[in-house]
Amino acid sequence: MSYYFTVMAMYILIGIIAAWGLNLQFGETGVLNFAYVLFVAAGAYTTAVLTLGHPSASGTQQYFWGAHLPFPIPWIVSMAVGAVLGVAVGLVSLRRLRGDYQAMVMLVVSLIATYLVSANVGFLNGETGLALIPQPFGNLHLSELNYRWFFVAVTAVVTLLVFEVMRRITGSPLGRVLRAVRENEAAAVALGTNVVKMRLLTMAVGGAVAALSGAIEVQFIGAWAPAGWTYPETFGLFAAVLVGGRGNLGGVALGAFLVQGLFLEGTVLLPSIGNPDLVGAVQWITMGVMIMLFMWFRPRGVLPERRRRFTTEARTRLPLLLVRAQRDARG
Amino acid sequence: MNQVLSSLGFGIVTASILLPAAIGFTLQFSATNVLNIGFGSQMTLAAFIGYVCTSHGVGLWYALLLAGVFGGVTSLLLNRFLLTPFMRRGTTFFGMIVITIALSLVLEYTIEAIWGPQSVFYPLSTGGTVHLGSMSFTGEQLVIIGIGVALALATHALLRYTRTGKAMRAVAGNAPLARASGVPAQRIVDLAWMLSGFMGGAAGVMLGISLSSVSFTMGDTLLVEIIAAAVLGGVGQVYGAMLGSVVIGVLLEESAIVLSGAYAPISAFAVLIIVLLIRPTGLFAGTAKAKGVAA
Amino acid sequence: MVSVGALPGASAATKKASGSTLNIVSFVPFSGPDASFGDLALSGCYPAVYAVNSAGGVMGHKLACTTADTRGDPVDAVPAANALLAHASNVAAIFGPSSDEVLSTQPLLEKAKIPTFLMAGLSQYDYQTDPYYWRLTPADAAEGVAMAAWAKEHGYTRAAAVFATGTTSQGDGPASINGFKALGGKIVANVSLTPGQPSYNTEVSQVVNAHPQVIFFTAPADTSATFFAELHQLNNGVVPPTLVTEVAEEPGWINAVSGAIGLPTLEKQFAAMEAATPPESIPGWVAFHHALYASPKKVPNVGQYVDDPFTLSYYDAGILVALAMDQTHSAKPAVFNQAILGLSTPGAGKVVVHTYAAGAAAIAKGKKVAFIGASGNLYINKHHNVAGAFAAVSEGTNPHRIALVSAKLMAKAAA
Repeated sequence: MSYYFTVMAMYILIGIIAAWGLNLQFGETGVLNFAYVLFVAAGAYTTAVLTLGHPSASGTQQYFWGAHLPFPIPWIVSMAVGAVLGVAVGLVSLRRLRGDYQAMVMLVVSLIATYLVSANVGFLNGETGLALIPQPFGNLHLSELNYRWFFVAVTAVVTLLVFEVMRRITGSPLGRVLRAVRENEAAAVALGTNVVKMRLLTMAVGGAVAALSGAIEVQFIGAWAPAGWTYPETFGLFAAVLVGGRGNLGGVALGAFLVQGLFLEGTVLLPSIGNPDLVGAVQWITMGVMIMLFMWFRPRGVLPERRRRFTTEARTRLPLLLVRAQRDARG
Repeated sequence: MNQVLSSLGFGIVTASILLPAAIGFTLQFSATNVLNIGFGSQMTLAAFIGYVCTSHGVGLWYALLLAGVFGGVTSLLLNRFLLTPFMRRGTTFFGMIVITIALSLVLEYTIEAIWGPQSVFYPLSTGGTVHLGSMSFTGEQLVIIGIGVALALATHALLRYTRTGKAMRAVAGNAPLARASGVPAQRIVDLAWMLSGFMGGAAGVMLGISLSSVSFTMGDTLLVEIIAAAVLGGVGQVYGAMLGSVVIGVLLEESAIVLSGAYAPISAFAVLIIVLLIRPTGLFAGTAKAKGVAA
Repeated sequence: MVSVGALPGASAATKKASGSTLNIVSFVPFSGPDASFGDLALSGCYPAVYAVNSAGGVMGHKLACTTADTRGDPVDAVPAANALLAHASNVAAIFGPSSDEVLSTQPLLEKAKIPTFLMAGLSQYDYQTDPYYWRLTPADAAEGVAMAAWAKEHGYTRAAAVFATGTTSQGDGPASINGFKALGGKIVANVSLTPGQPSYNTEVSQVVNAHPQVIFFTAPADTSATFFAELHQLNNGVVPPTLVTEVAEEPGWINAVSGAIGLPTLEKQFAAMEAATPPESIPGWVAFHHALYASPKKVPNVGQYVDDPFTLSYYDAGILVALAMDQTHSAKPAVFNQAILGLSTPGAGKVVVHTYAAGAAAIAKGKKVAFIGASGNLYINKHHNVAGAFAAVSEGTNPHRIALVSAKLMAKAAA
């Protein structure tokens, strides 16, 4: 049973990190990144090839290049890859397009990436994906269970670090500018905010955080394949942010716990009963209904964003707030 | 050259399926400003209803009609009793997307629970083909093309020449204004959703015929192409969706000649992105521009 | 050697099951593109469990078939494996995993030390050494080699290779291509299909224009239906002889493709390369066949599975596990696992049995037993793999063996 708890804990922590990255983009800044899971995948693949070693050493698996780097270098490189990829995707989709078009282009980018990786076996082992990815703390010689708890502890520390970074960003004058971009783009532009630059910034930071979550996930489970990052996976994370309460870090964490932990992975962990085809289907139907119920009864999420900054009345005073935010940002 | 023409034939078939689907998808958007991710699953559900009909001895084309009617009614009901209440509560544009994702999950897995994970199929003639130069069509494919074109023309006639159509365009352009000028907006919205559901249902059966199988993920798989066609034309633009369907449908097939098969699907989407980079609101920019989407 | 008992329930139904229920877990995809693997594993599990339970259970335990859905996704399979292990105390055996999730779950399942009967056909398990891993069906690559050999044997020199992108095809595709070339054949078209496309006409045209005499083919059911419908259309209603694999014997595949091109064409032009199953007259198969239909739990279209090598070998695996418990007087996997190999191998002084009831009775009398079940003699080697013969099996609603594939040519093609 302890195994069970370590897995649940890992999935929830990883889900929380990923959801926070998405919250920065979507919850704070209003960027609809429907390609979010692509950044999780980029981090996972980066860490995979950076720990698997040279392709010739791994026998049957094919991938374009590999190295054998110690922890935490693969995680850091993954974050850098996520950030660069975020800017690249952002440059394509965010500069000229309207919000809903951006979202659709991102969706298509996500799909194209899945196709590319699946079709090109020599790149990242195609649809079979990469497996037998080495564990990061193997040299500690811990017992199996202790090792798992150690991994959970490391991830918890990383989660706290991400929380602190997120808290600082959202609590800073920069955070206010980001929310201004979300609430009233026209006003933000009018007051001299470089909206595109702000969005690219969140693409970079959010991309790095997503990649980090992927890096941790791939090292924990030891495998990664296209089936694990198809575009609907992004929607699962969006559901987490919305159910929990966009713009509220605690709420988003709760949402990730509920959606990623309980709905998605928790149902897998339940002992199955009855007709196997039916059980899987019923689990998904239940998840769909639960999301609708949450959206109906808690439309702002279980823990809503504290509206003291931008209440409805405050919206009318937005220009004033923005001027202040701009001033703060310039120091 | 032969290959180009031969692929063009299949491109036309694919485009003919995308036509009603993309029109339906974009009609919903223009009427209520909802990007309905569940549209693909609604198509699949209708396709399975078509399967139920054919397995009870109903002719294939009557089954298509019945599936279309079923699609229209469920679409109307879903909008009335699920989506509209959420809109009334002030659910945001993105919140609505999440609702439709949840809807898509519920529909898709209800289908799986009822009909199982394995695909079913319609009774198709495995008879002769008609040759037009290098193009070849089965009888069913010709009918699919006919239906696709007919549905597009009917939509055109409706929007251009009837009061209802004009009212629909008015609602799409500016709902509060239309309401103020005496257009019964709710009825028009109902009609738009019913029409779009009919289009989707018909497209679902057409897809099942064209693929020679009906699986519970089928509509969802096509959804990306539908979205691409709709976005290429300019979201909410019915004529744009028509043009987008033809472009995406033909490109999907033609590009496979140049690229190897596994990469071909990418080209149509690459074109979408390139077009949007040049024309950020799609090929047909118009009223949609006014419908800025606020987060 | 003495043969004892031909029909189940003939004897030894006197034991009373009072202990907890032991589970055989089918750890394979039950949803996603490879959802059919789920029924495949269960199709062997149900009759085995029925045979054991109707003989009074094993060691005071009843057996049951349970499931763990991997969704065919290596990432999703990991929590599923963890869940399986969390409830591992009453798991007697694992049927699976398939190629989709075998690599990602290997580190977990290895630690479980529960007999695991792989469905995965990946070549890296050909010489595996884990004592708890068993594979009673041939590797994917062998299917490809069989295609090459069968084509050569029938005088074909020009073949088109058509494989869907995906894990299984990554195994048998290259094997068929290299094998056919090794036998002097020519691959005139090498096409890969990306599942989920609205049409495959360009891929079909490539195949048609290359004028192959034979097609080597593996793809999921719906992709196959679309591909063959268009091949039928673009090639003037002619589908060249096509060699497929076990997947194409599953009901979903047959329904889809026969819907696309008509059942007569499917029956006439297609042959599936499968591990050769024994004649339907051997007593082990007769007992299996009885249990398959007598079992209250059945998979849909159960008739399609009567000669499926996976079904047969999973039935045999279930019986072997139960007999191993009887022989070692233990329901602990770590104890009874080691008895499986001996039980599957006939030898001097061993009583050959063909049913669980007969085996349990013989063991109770202190005799040494060899179980020859539905698959006939499995010839399990020291790597817990089987290297049986291959047969070409007809497609359609009533599959039957066409002929054995030449072992000599297969060896040459694999070299």
